[in-house]
This record gives sequence, C-alpha cells and structure tokens, in this order.
Amino acid sequence: MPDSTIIDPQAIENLRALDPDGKDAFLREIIGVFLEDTPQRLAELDSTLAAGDVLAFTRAAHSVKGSSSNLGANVLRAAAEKLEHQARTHGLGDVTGLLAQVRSEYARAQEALAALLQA
Amino acid sequence: MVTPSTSSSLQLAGRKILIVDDDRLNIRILAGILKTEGYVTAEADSGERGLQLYAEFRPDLVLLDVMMPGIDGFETCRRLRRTYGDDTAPIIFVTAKKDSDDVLEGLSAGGADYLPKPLKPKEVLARIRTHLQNQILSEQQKHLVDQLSRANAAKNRFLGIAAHDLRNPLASIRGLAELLSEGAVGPLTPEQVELVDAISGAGQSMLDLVNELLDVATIEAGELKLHLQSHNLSDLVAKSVAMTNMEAAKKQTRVAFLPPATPVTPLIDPERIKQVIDNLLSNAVKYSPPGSAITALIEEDRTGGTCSFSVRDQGPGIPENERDKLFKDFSRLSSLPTGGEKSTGLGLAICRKIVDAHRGSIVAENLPERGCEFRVTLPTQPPAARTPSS
Repeated sequence: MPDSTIIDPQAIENLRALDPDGKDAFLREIIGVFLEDTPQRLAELDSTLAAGDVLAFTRAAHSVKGSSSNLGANVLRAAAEKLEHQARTHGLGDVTGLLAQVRSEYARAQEALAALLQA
Repeated sequence: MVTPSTSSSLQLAGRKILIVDDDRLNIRILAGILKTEGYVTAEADSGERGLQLYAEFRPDLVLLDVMMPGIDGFETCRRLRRTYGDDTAPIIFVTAKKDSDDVLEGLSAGGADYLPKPLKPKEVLARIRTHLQNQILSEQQKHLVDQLSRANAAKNRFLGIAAHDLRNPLASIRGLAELLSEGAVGPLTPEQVELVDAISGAGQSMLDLVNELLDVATIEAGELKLHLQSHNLSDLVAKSVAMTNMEAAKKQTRVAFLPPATPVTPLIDPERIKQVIDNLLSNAVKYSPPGSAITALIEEDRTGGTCSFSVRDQGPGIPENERDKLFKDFSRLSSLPTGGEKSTGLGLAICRKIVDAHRGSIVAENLPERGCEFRVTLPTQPPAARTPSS
C-alpha cells in the first residue's frame, strides 16, 4: 500500500472501482499516463519559465494540480496549487522555490505510485 | 399521440457524451467513468477541436474543461450556445477552479453545472444522469407542445372552414324566409307569418353564431389584422347607440349617450371597435329589465394618454364568483337575458381579444346601487403626434 500521506487510498479505490472485473487494468493505465505526462508538464514549467511565458506556465501548473488530485497525490496537488497561484498573481519573479517543491513532491509521488504498480 | 414516459428509469445508456480537455489523463479518467454506465464518448483535446467534433458527433451532453490553451472552456461554451441556441446539449464544466466568480462566469456563459476536481465517479455519474434526464424531459415537452400547436391550428382551420361553409345556406334560409313573409309567393295566414318569423329568427341566431365563430377562429389564428386610423370615437358610439335604440325601444329600454367635452380621436380600427361597442350596448340592453335607462359615455385622460368608453346598465350586475369567467370563450354567466334574447357566450371574449390587439383594456365593475359598468380603455395617439394645445 502506498504511503497514505503521499497518495490518498480513496482516490486509488475510486479508480480501481471503475474496473468491474477487478483486474486493475484501468488503474494501471491511469497511473501510467500520469507518470508519462507529468514529467512533460515539469519540462514545460522549465521552458515557459525561461521564455517568460506567464500564461503557459500557469496553465502547466494548473494541469499538474488537476492530474495529481485525480491520483490522490494531495501534497503534490497543494504544491502545484501554490505555484499556480503565485504565478497568476505575482508573475514569474519568485517561483523557483515553489517549482523545486513541486518537483520533489512529484518524485515522492512517482515512487509511491511505482511501488503500487509493482505490488 | 406520444404519451410521455412516466418511469423514472429513462433509458440513458447509449447516450453520447463529448469530453473536451487538453489533458489526456483527465480524458482517460472521465471516459473510464462514463463507459461503466454505457455512455458512448468522443474526445477532443482543445476547444477548437471540441467545436468541430460537436458538429459531427452531436452529443447529448458535453463535459468541458475550463483551462485550455487556445480558446478556453467558457469561450467554447459561448460559441456552442451561439451556434446551436436552445438546441445545445447541456454543458458541464470540469475544473479545479472553484471560486464563485468562475462559477458565475461559467453559468452565464451558458453552462449547466460544475464538476469539481478531483473527480469522484459517483458524483460525476449522478450529475450527468440528472442533466440527461432533464434534457430528455425537455425534448418530450417540446414534442408535445409542437403536437398541441398543430392540433390547435387544425382546429382553428376547421372552425374557419365550417363557419364559412355554413354562411351561404344560412343566408338562403334568411332570404327565402323574407320572401315568404313579404308575400312574394302568395299571401300568408297570420299563423304562417308567425312560423316564418320563427324560421327567420332561428336562421339569424345561427348566422350570428357562425359569424362569431369565424371571428374567434380568425383571432385565435393570429390573423386579426387591424387597420388603424385616427377616428372620432364619439361618431362611432353615437351611431351604435342610435342603432341599438331601435331594438331597445321594443323593450322600452333607452340608451343615452354622454359625449366628451372635446373630440376624442384615438388610433383604432373603426370596424373592430364598433364591433366591441355594439356588443357592449347589446349586452346592456339584453341583461337590463324592460324600461331601463342605459348610459354610454366617453372620457379622456390627457395626462395618461388614454381614452375610454363605458356602458352602464341596470341589470343584476356580475356575481363575484363569476368574474373570472367573464371574458372567456363560451362562458355564460348565471344571469339570463330579460327579453328572451339569445346569447352565444363568445361576444365578450371577442371584445377582449380586439381590445387586447389595440393594446387597451376592458373591465367590468358592478355599480354601487345596481347594474354593471363595462369600460374599455384605449391608448390615444402618442403625444408627439398631437398638435400643441394650450
């Protein structure tokens, strides 16, 4: 079972319940997509920050927020929310700290989910 | 005739849902949730693509992400509403944004609901079910209203045709009865004259009814065309009073006309308004006892921009509990004509429709001592058209 402070088991259960034959195929698919897409979002955050594109940066942060909430990765979600809010209200001047936080939270979530896939 | 389904388990499986979201994870999750209920889904990864896909897929419901590159969810929603109007499928926004300002913007853009993230499958399905059921009921209702409208139009057409076709034979009856009574085919005994008069009277009653039915059919079909012109209201009322007095004299009843101080010339269709005046005067005579004194008067309210004509009778008045029937089709009140006259029950309904078409009003009020006053109020010409007065 993944550490419940990183991944909310209820969210996993919700996804699991969508597979009527109980084989977890859907859950695995979703986790797989998350683990593929989120690194792309993180790369977008880097590139849009470098380009100074506030709108695109905010959107990428918003996206991480949304998808992490679907997977029950609540700490990651909270970090992404802070990042989004910061960018939207104050621009890209002071986001590096929060961005680093998002990165590290993703790393922990990724570990927890990968462990789940192994089980 | 389609009868509406009253079962609460309306068949929803197989209904089409369009998912619009730039994040494929969200799409996968939503699609997964929807498939468990047997919905058929289509997916678009942008607002623009969503608009294209909507046209091809014609979904029963749309799940719309708000934050997307290109046009956002609100704009997509607005465009769908502009294109498809009331036929747009219900749109549900899916988003992590939950400030009430955003909710308001979404709803005023034409969205039906909000689904918050994270998506909880049961909640998603429950909300979708509600909106689809509403949509189905709304479709059924439109269908029923459409059927009813067509039935009503058919009824009006039939009414018009029947009335029209009856006029000729009725005119013949009246014409021939007249010939007989004038002795054109030989002298008649007093008994025969009586019978012929009865035939004539019955024929006239039928003709009156037919004409009224024709009027109702025309007016209901929305085909009442008013030919408005500036007309002296006093002239109209005076003529009508004179004609009415010829009949009223048979009952020793008399109508007195009190004209206004200055001429009143509202913008009216004289023929139609005359119909109203005739009807009100004729009712006043009918329902007042023999030997009554009836008053017709015209008043003007310059500041209000209206004028009115009223008829005061000496009949029994309108019973309180019958007031709301007064101007409806085919309704007859408990009071009876005092000279054995006939009543079809359509006259006041037609008056009401004509007055409404003039954007006026018609009311009936019992007079303090006895009798009733019917008052028709009409707008006079707009102030700009009047020549400046002192």
